[in-house]
Amino acid sequence: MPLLEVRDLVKIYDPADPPALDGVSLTVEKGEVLVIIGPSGSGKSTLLRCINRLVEPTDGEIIFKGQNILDPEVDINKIRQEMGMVFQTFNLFMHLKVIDNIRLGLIKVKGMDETEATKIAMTMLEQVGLADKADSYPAELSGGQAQRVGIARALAMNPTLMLFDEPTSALDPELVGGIISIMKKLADQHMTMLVVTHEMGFAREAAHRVIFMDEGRIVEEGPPKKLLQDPDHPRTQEFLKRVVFKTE
Amino acid sequence: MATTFEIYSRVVPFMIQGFKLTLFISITSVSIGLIIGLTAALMKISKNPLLRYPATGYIEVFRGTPLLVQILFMSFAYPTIYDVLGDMLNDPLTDLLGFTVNITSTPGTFTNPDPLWDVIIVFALNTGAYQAEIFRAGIQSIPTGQAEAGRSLGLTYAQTMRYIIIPQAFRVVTPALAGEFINMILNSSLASVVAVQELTYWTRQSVSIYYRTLEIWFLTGIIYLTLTLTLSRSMQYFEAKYSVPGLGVAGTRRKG
Ligand SMILES: Nc1ncnc2c1ncn2[C@@H]1O[C@H](COP(=O)(O)OP(=O)(O)OP(=O)(O)O)[C@@H](O)[C@H]1O
Ligand SMILES: [Mg+2]
Repeated sequence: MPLLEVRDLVKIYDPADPPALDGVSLTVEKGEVLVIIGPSGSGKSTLLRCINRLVEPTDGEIIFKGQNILDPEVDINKIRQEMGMVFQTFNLFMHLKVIDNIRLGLIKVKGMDETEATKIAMTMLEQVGLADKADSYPAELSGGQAQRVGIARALAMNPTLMLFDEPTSALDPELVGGIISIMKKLADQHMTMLVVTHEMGFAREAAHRVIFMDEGRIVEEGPPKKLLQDPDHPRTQEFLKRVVFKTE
Repeated sequence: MATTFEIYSRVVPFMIQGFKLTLFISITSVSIGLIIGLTAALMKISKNPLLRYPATGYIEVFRGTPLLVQILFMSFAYPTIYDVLGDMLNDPLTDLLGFTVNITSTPGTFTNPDPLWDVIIVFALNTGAYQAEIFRAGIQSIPTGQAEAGRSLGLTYAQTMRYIIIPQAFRVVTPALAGEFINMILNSSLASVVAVQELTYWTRQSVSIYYRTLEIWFLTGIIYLTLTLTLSRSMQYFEAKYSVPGLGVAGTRRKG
């Protein structure tokens, strides 16, 4: 049984516009790293946000661990604990110190006491190399540091699935590498990951599978070697030409 | 003719008494208004129309009519409103404040013999409406990514509001809130028109006894000014104390 199965997902924000998602189906096995690429507005963020229901899908099914999470009976807050999300703009809680950004979920969602939460938070910060920033506020961090806290905050909840929405797009070029290497390490540890990114290097080296989306649909999917170097579909070819030209 | 000093030594005891009541009215109204304001703000941003419409209606009515009219309306709509509220509030308020609060009417009388709680209720509702708009704007100024990050961790809507959005919104709105508290203190002088014996009431009484208009009103002005200056300084203190880098007005000023 796959960890996650998405069936015929449709999202219509505004009936006047074309659907943001127009029948997307995919499966993710446990331990798999799936990279999603595609032009701006193709629905990548919408897909990721539908999976943890930050966005309510218009139609379709999302089966996570054998359970349809769109079922109104489902406690979505329980499901979300198992899905970590990392945002392009970090979205660290501005009024909380780094350590409290991580402890909040542990204490309020998982019901841990402070000592236990602190221990886990510090372990997470050490893993991303930021133990010395525990008492800083988010505004005092560089973008790269902030994103590492964002990753640590999501990982602290001990999720089964990690969703990354362009985690390096808001970073200065010299800071991208640090985040990518944390994500690679995570992939090596067999974390199941869904990653929207323009970092073709990460896709090549860490992805098991790459999906190309355009206009709310999956145009093509396959192993990174095939999809990135020898794509079948002309739209994929055209997109890759532009992206590769831009980043390399 | 009596010297200014002699006049002041006679009126000051009354002024102090009035000042105490002004302080009591202001603090009570602002505190109740804070609870009302925050509640109304949360209702107004709710998706549920059963919460949203009443909050919107309340805010529009109290911001859209003169405070003086609200005070007079409340004062003369007594005893009808009064009896109902008295039944509802006497016991809980007594428990809460630790001294006996008596919102009671004398049936058949047209105006209320002790309109203090009338005006406090009106003031609380009035400042509550203004505070609601301040809080709503503050809450909506917090980037949506903050709430999304909270929800993505598994926090409920209420937890996200309580631990993430409201603490940030408070820091953003402190200056506006300070302004509203000052308005409230100054507006409390309107209570004198229904014979609540606060500072302005005693000033008018003193003037009518001693005919020393200029000196007595000058003294009153100084007292109000001292009160509002103290308040705005302490708000600035709290703002600095709870300031966080990158948030609100104090937060953008680098601490040297
Ligand atoms: N909250 C929203 N309300 C209305 N329309 C939206 C909303 N979010 C996204 N859309 C629209 O849905 C479509 C897909 O957007 P989405 O953000 O999913 O694309 P994306 O592939 O993530 O693009 P990008 O690479 O720019 O992040 C776009 O046309 C966008 O304008
Ligand atoms: Mg996007």
